[in-house]
Amino acid sequence: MSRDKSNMRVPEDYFNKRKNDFLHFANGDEDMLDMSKDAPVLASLGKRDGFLLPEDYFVNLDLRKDKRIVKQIRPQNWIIYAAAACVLCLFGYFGLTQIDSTTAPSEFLVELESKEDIEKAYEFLIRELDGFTNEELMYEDVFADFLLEEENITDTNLETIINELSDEFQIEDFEDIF
Amino acid sequence: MIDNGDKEILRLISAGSMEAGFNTLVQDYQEKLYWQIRRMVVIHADADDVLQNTFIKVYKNILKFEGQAQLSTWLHRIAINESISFLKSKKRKRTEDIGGIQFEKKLVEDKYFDHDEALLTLQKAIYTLPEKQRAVFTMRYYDEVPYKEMAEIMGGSVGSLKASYHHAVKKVEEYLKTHVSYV
Repeated sequence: MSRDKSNMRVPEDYFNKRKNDFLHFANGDEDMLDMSKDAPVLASLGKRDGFLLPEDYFVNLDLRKDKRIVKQIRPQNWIIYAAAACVLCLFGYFGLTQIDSTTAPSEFLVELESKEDIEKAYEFLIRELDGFTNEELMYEDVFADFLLEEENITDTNLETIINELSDEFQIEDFEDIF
Repeated sequence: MIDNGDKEILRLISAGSMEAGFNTLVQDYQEKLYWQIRRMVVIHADADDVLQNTFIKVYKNILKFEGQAQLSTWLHRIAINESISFLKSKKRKRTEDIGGIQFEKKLVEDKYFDHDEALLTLQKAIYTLPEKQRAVFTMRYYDEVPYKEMAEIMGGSVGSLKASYHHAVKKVEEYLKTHVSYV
């Protein structure tokens, strides 16, 4: 036992032990409250939250995840529309979609002059998204990865970028996909 | 220690099998992340959107994940940040929701909510908490996330998170006492 000047006594090693208790309390995982006393109404509700889920939500989420993510990643900026247009053009070239394109891809790219044309092509891709397999969509990533590196896309440098795109990829690069 | 499932995900991704690795990641984490997000944003359709945004962010950044934190910690951090951003952007877009009237209306209309009066009041009580405090409250109260893990997800010290949870519980309790009719 130890004592101070006022003759009051504390148990041996009291302060060291208490310090450890306080530190343990501050750093340990215990809460600072007793729910039944400090929050009886909340405690009476238990852990219920009232949330319900659509039937098979996670099963369906699993099935659609790739397409949802690809769909959302694409429209970062409107150069992505150009990527989609290239994809559609190539799909058209191989006769895989209903796009009426008798134009060779390289010519098609040169003809992409207006934002509206590109947007229209992109809208088609999004509308028909479910008709594409994941492999086909991953094929689109080839363009997307290339394009996502391009940060400063403006209307004025779009033409240059489209030209670069057509130089970057050859039809032969995609033949094994089909 | 890195979980074996996480190891496999990271191995697949670093070996270039991005699609396979990402598929496994989504399968393993979609439910946990969904519930964390749902408890923050409450409405199912909003949780669905935020979950999607979370996975998009993960997909875009997984190659930058350096393994300094656990994969699960990193994923939960993204989910929490996405939820907070969503709530803040919603707050910016709408005029002031005095008394949570708009929130209550939306919740009442949500067909994926059990319309028990006490649970509706509980959600309204949680809705009064600031975003970060809401995250602390839901993680601790519903999922019993250890404070140490919470500190890694949220940042801050164990002590400050404990204090935040303490205040959150007090506020929720106070709201319930004045709004739940059977008390």
